[in-house]
Amino acid sequence: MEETRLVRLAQQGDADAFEALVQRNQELAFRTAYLIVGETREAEEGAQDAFVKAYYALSRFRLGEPFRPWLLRIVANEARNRRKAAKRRDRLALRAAEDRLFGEPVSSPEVAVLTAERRQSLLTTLNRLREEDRLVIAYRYFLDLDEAEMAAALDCARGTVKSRLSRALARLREELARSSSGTRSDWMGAADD
Amino acid sequence: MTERGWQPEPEIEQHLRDLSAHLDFPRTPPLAAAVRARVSASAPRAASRWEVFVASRRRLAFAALAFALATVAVLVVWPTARAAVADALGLRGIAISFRPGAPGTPLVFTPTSAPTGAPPGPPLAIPPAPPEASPASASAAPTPAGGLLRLGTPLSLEEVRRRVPYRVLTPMLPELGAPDGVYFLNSVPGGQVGLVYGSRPGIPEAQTGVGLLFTQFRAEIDFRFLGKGLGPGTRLEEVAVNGRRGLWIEGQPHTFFYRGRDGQPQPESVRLAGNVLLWEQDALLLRLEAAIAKDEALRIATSVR
Repeated sequence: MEETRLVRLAQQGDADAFEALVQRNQELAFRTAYLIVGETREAEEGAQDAFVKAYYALSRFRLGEPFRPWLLRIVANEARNRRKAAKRRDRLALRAAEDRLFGEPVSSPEVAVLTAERRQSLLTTLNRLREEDRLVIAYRYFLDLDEAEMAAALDCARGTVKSRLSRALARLREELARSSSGTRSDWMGAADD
Repeated sequence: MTERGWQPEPEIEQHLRDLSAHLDFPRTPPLAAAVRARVSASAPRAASRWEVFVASRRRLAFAALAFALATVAVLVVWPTARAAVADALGLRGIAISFRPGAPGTPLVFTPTSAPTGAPPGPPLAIPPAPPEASPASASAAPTPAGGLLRLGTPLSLEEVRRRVPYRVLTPMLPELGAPDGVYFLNSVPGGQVGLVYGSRPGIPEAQTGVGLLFTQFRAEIDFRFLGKGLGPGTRLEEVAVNGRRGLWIEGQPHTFFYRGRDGQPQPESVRLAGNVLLWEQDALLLRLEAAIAKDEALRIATSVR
């Protein structure tokens, strides 16, 4: 596999191979860092530092294991350290640009507005969750991380990822219900309790 | 997914996926070139087969232990962590201080009230270092089991960062690279982190397989107990490291005493495998030991963060 080949070369000191590894993974690393630190510059520096640390730690990487979880552990650790140092109030720093909220054409303008509002509302509600819940949801649905990658980024046991995600989604559902004050049909489709 | 712990929330998930398609992450910066420049500042260090072997086992236990046995015992008292330091260095029940004075002034070892329960004894005056004797022949009493000086449990740097309540500092010189072994000792309050580096260009092997040892734990240097002229051939100098006061210790073989199980002090002759640079940074006591000159040690220490 290409990734294994690149890692093996990089382990032997091939800087070109490592650069290729960075290229392949920089978006994921940057976005993971961004979710944690919430600020572009810090995320950029944190991801860069993490890659450098990863380079010098390559000799300890077991070839044949998936590379991304190993890398994401370093990235998330670096990002958490930076956030602690900055004493930043944590939040999900994502926004949805207004025009992007509207997106593809739908059946009517009313639906389009409702859809955009719903997206914004979902984002706002996500921001109200505690950090642990926000991150697990973001990792799964916004970064499409698999279970091993999520465990590495969250620094938790792999077996707990599913239940963490479940609980986070349940809390999100509760928050949405709380905030929409009676219009739960927007979210749930059918009356429910 | 229908495994244990997973409760499907299909509608919420659908909305989240929908939102995901409309989210704005900031544009990904071009990291590859910047990273490349940083790791190419010196020639990339090729991982030799030996290094990969050692690293893949994450175990330099034999080398670290051998090095630790050869490392000189603590020469300065740190009252804020005295018992812990003594314990960590396998020197239960002994506080070691030295008095200012002319070269040749004997070291004074003052037994502390002991975790072992032995009553404190009278101070012992130790003459200047006797001829080197192997540990086995030093006395009739057996050497403590498990090694007199130990670095602790081998872990990864990431694991160790999680274990300690402080931010682990590391030397950041590219040519030094990452440590070849990382150790955690929890018998020191807050935990001690030991980083072991094999030999590098400019850093010879001070002991089998080991060129440099960097340890840290929460403590302070007590400068009231500073003295010069610890014994023939030993040099102690105050230095500045990253704006903080530090100590540079170089010299000849030392003798130190430990308190054995029977409460009696036992002599141990060791060779200082390298020189020692001690300093405080971020409320940690940092120790750099290697067979290198002061300038080189200071250069490495300045990179620590």
